[in-house]
Amino acid sequence: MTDDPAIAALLAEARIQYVAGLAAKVADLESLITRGAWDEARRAAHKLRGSAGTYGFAEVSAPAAAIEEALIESNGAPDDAVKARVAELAREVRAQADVAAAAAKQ
Amino acid sequence: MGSWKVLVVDDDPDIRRIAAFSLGRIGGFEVATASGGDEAIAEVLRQLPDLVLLDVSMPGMDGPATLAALHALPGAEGLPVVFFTATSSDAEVDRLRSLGAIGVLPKPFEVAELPKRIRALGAQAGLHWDG
Repeated sequence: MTDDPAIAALLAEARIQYVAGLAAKVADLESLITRGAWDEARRAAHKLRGSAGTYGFAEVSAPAAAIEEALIESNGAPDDAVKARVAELAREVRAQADVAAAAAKQ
Repeated sequence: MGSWKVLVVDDDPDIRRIAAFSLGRIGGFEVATASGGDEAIAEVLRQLPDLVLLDVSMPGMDGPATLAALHALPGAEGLPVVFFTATSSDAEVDRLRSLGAIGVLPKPFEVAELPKRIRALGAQAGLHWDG
């Protein structure tokens, strides 16, 4: 992201701090999906899409973006197929967030 | 004018933090932050920034409503505002520009590139960089 080692170190620290809070964000998203709070889930996915991507976690941002888009297309009333797809994408978000957390600990 | 003061407005603290880092530590801007439209108005009344980087999708007063409110403040009618948004369709970008924004940047954004993008948009709006 940057050639300046001092800036790169600060950015790496910022990414570690972000990852430390990532599990809670993913848990919130999962809870909203489980409860069928689709509008809130869409907003949570939107925020996760933007923040994860900006902090350099494109692999988390991509499935979050797909969740947001699926919920936008279903106009807040997803059918069973969309619900299943969203649940699958949420598992992908969780898996990728776990990978990021594990990498941050190394 | 020395380095510009940029007001970053976003309801997501993670985005405020990384945007402030990008603009302040990498770009050399003076940075203030606000978590929503009301805070942005208070900050602009406290000290007029040179440019506002404004999220589109926020609960309560969203980005377009915040832009309208800021431009209605005495002395802030021409305040340069740049939206950042996850929506990248040409129609949406055109709509946001038509509201009075000088530019629209994508979110997620590249941390190292954001200062360059802001500097370029500010220059187009007539700001001079001596920072």
